[in-house]
Amino acid sequence: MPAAVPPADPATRASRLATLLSVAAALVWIPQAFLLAVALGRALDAETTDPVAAMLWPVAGFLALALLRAGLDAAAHLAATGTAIDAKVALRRRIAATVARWSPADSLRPPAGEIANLAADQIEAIEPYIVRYAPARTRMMVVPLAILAVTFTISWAAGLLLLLAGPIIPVFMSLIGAAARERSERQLGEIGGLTGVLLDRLSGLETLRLFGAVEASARAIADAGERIRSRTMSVLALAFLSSAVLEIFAAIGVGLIAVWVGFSLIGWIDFGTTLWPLTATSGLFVLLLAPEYFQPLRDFAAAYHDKASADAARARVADLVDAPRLSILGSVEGTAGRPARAAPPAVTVTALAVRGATDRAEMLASFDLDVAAGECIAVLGPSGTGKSTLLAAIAGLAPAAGGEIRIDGEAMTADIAQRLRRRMAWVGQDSALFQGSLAANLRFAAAPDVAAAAIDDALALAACGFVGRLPNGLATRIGADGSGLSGGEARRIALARAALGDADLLLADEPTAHLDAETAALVREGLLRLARGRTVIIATHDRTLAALADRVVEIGAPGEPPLAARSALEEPA
Amino acid sequence: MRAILVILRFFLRRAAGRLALGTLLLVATLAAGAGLFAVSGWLIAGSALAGLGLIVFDTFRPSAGIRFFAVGRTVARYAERLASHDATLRVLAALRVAVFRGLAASPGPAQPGGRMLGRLSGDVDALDGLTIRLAAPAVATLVAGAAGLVLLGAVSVPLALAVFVPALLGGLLVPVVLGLRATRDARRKLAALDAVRLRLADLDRGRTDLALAGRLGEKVAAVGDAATRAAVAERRLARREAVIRAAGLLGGQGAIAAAALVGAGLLAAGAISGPLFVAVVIGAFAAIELVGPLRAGALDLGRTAVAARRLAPLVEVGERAAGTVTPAPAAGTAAASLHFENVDFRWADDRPAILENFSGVVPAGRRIALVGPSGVGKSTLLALAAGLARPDAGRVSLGGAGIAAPGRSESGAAIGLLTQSTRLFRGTIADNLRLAAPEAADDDLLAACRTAGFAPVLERLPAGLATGLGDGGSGLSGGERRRLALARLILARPALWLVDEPTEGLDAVAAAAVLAGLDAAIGSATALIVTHRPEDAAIADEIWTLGTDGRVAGVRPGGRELAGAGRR
Repeated sequence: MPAAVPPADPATRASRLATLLSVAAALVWIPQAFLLAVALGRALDAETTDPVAAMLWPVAGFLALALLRAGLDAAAHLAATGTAIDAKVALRRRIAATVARWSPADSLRPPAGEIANLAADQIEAIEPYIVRYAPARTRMMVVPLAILAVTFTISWAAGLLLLLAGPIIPVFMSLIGAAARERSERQLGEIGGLTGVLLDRLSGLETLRLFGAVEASARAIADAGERIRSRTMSVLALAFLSSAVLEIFAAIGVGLIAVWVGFSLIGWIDFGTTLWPLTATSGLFVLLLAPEYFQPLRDFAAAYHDKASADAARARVADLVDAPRLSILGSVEGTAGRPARAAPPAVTVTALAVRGATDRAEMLASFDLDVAAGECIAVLGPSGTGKSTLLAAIAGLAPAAGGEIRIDGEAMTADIAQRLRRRMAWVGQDSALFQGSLAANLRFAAAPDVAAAAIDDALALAACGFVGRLPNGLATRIGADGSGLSGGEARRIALARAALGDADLLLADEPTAHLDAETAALVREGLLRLARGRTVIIATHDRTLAALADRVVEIGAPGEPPLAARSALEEPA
Repeated sequence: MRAILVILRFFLRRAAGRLALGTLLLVATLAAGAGLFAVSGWLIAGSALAGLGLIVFDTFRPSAGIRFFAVGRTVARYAERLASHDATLRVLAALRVAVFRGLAASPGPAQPGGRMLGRLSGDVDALDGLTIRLAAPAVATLVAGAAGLVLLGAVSVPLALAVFVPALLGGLLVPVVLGLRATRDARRKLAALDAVRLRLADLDRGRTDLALAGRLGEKVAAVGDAATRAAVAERRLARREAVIRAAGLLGGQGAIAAAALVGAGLLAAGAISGPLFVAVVIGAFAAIELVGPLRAGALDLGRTAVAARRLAPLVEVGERAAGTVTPAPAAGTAAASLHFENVDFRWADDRPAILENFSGVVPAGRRIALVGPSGVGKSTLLALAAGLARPDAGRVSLGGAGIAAPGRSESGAAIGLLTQSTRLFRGTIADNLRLAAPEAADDDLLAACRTAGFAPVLERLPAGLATGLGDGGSGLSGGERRRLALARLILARPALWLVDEPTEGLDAVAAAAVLAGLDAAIGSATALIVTHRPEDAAIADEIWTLGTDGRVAGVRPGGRELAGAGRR
C-alpha cells in the first residue's frame, strides 16, 4: 500500500480539504444505512399497523442525509477540481517564465513543439490525480476501517468476513497495479501509435497524392489498426481479469453476509452477534454497509494509473525547469520602457568568454572588440565560430563566463540589462514575425504613437516596395508561424521594424543568409541606410556585406585563439 | 448533436454487432447487480419473518440466486469489457482511416500544418471515448431502465415509477442535458489551450526580438492569460460536473426512498409481501449503478461534441471517398515537352498575382535550371506543372495532355516532384520505396538505390531494405533522406522531373552525392530544376532566369551543355 503523503507535494496538501469532504461524504452512508434499516425493520414488524407512518421519519432522515451527502460530494469535487485547475495554471505560468529566460545562444534547449505539448496537453494529467486518485486513496484508508468497526459492534462474524477480505486486498492492489500499468502503457503506446501512423501519413499527404498512393496509405492505416487491436486485446484480456477478481470478492463478501444474516434470523445459526441479538433491522444494517466496504477499493483501482501519468508530467516539468541552461540577463517581466534616443553608443568587449550551460564547452573564448560610437563593423568568420554567441552576449541574452561588455561605458549586468537592451535593434536570419497584421508586426518595437509617415519611411529604407503591391497593404494578415511572406520579404520587414524601433545600436546576425543574390543586395543596401546615425555590429560570412562595413573583424581565423566547434548545433549550415 | 449522430452512425456501420453485444452485456451486468441486491434483501426479510414464525420461507432459492447473480455479474462485466473494447478498437482504426481519406479528398491546403495535425489528433482521441463512455452506457441505461420499469410495473405501476422516475431523471436526463450544454465551455477551453501552444511557440521562436523590444514579459503574461482563460472555462465545467454528480446521487437515493414509501403503502394494503417489499427497496440500490457510468462520462460530451463537429464533415467525405481508387500514374512514359500557355496565378485572393500571362516551353528531354530572386514564382511553376495547383487562367500541359491530378497528366504520364517537403514515412525503407511502385521486386529497389547514390547507406544498415524508419523518415540524415526520396522517385519513372532546391541545407559532400544521383536519375527525361546555387545548374542544359515581372528574363547554357560542347 502506498506510503504516507510526501510533504513536498503541494497539490496534495492543497487538496486536503477536498479529501476530507470526500471522506465525510462516504461516511454519511453509515447513518443513512442505519436509518434505512430502521425504516425497513419497522415496516416488517408485525406490530406496525401503518407502515407508511412508521417509516416516514427514518426515510425523511435518510433523504436529509442524502442531501448532505450530495452537498459534501459536490463540494469535494469543486474543491479538488479548483485545486487542480490552479495547479495547472501555475505550472503553465512557470513553464512560460522558465522558457522566457533561456538564452537564444543555448542550442541545447528543447524544441518549442515539445514544450507546447507539455504545457498544453501533458499537464492535464495532474487533474485526474488530484480529483480522483488522492481522495480515493484516503477514502480507501479510512472508510473500510470505519465500516469494519461499526460492523463489529453488531456482528463479529460479519466483521470477520469483511476483515478476511482485508489481507487479500494488497494482493489485489498489486494485481491491479500490474494490470493498470499495462493498460496505461497501452493507452500511451498503442493508441498513440495508431494516431501517430495517421499523423505521419497526413504530414506527407502531398507526397502521397503525387504518387497516387492515398488509397494504399488508407489501407496501411487500417492494417496498423488491426495489428494494434489484436495485440491490445490479448493484453486487456489479462488486465480485466484482475479487476474481475476484485469484483467477485466484493460480490461474494456481500452475498456471504446476506446468507449469514438470513440463516441467523431463521435461527439456523446462533453465533456471530456481538452486543445484541440479531434483528431484521441490524441484519439489514450490516448488509447495507457491506458494499460500501468494497467501494473505496474499487474507486482506487479505477484511479490507480492516474498517479503514474501525473508523476510523469510533473517530472517532465521539473526536468524542464531545473535543467541548467544559459539564461538571459536581467528581468524578463513587464514591458520595458524605451529610453530617449541618445547619441549612438560605443561598445567595448573585453576578454569575453561564453560557456555552454551543461557541458561548459567554450562557445566564445577571451574575445576582445572595440566599436566606436556610430561605427559599423562586420564580424566575419565561418559558421560555428561564435559570431551569434557574441551578438547574444552583447545584447545581454547570454551570460559571460568571463570578461565584460560595456555599452557606452556601462557594464552589461543583470540589473540594467533590460534598459540597455532597449537601445538595441535586431535583424536575424529568422526574425520572428507574429500572428497579426503586417502593421502590428512593424510597430512591434516602436513607440505606440508612431506616425504613419514614419512607417512609410521605414518601409522605403528597408526596400519593402512589395508591401505596396499586396492587395491589403499593411493590413495583410501574417499567419501563426510568420507565414504569408517569403523569406526575403520577412527579412526586409525585420529591417523596417528595426528602423522603426529607433534604437541606436543595431545587431545583425547573418542578415543575408539563404537569400538569392538580388534580395541579398536589397538587404545590404537597406542595412547601410539603417547604419546612418547608429552603431552597427554585423555578424556574417557574406564577404560582400562585410566589405561595406567601416571595419572588418575576423573571428575564428587562423592565428585567433581556437574556438570550440559547435557549428552543427549552433548554426545549421 | 447532428455531428455526434454522424459519428455514431459511422461507428454503428463499422461494428454494429459488437457494439450491440457490448451494450447487451452491460445491461446484463446492471441486471445482475440489481438481482444481487434484491435477492439479498429478499433473503434477509424472508428469514426475519420466518424466524418469527410468520411465514414459511424457502431459503434455498435466494441463496442460490445470490451465488448466481454474484458470479453472473462478474462474468457479464468481464465479457462486456472485452466486447466493447474490441468494438472500440475496430471503430478507432476505421475512424482514422475515414479521417485520412476525408482529408485526402478535401480541397483546401495541400498539406495540413503542424497545428492542424495537433488539433486533429486531439479530436480523434476525444472521439475514442464516444461509444465506450457515452453511447453504450446511455443505451444500456435506457434498455435496463425500460426492462426494469416493465418488470416492476407488473407488480405495481406506482412502485415502478417511484423507482425509475428519480433514477432516470437524475442519472440520465440531467447529465445528458448538462453535458450537451458544456460544448461551449469545452470549445473555449480548447481555444485557450491552442493559444497557450501558439504563444509558447512564439516566445521560443521570437525570444531575441521580444527581449530587445522589451516585450518578453508581455509574452509570458500572455501565456498566463491564455492559461487563465482555460481555467475559467474549466471552472464552469467543474460546476456543471458537480451538479451532475449531485443529481445522480440524489436520483439514486431518491429512488430508494420513494421505493420505501410507496412500497410501504402497498405492503399496508397487502398488495405485496414483506420479502418482496424489502427486495424492491434494496434492489433500488442498483439504480445508482445504472446511472454511474454515464455520470462519469457526461461531461466529456462537450469535448466530444466539439471534436465531432470538426471531424464529421471529414468522415462523411472520407466515407464517400472510400474505394474510389485514383489511377496511379503509368511509369516509364517517354519524355514529353512541358508547356505553359498564358498562365495567370495567385496563391490567394489577398496575395499579389505571381504569374500573369506566363508562357514557356520545356522541350522533350531537355533539362532547365530555373533561377531568379525569391518570390518571382519559380516554385509556383513547379506546383502548377506537378498538378498541386491549378492556373487561374491559361493552360499547363505535358506532351499535349493537360495535368489531370497531382503527379499525373491526362494521358497517364507520371510527373515527379522532389522538394524540401517531400516526405518519407514511418515503416521500412522498402515500404517507402514501394509507395512509388507497389509491385517492384527487391532487385528493382536496389537498382534505384544505386542510381540515387543511396546504396552505400543501405550497405551500412544491417537490416538493409528492411530497416525501419521513424516518423518522416527519422533515423536517416538529411542528405540520406533526400537520396532515398530520389530513389523512390526513380521507381516511379516520371516522364517529367520537377526539382526544387535539390541541395539546399546539405553540406558540400552530401550535396555532391545528391546532385550526382539526380543527374543519373533524370537520364533522358524532361526536367525543370529550381535552384539558387550555381553548382546545381551544372546538371542542366539551359539556365532560365525568371525576372521580377514573372517573365523569363534571360536564357544561357547550363553546365551540361557547356561540358558537352567543350568535350565533343
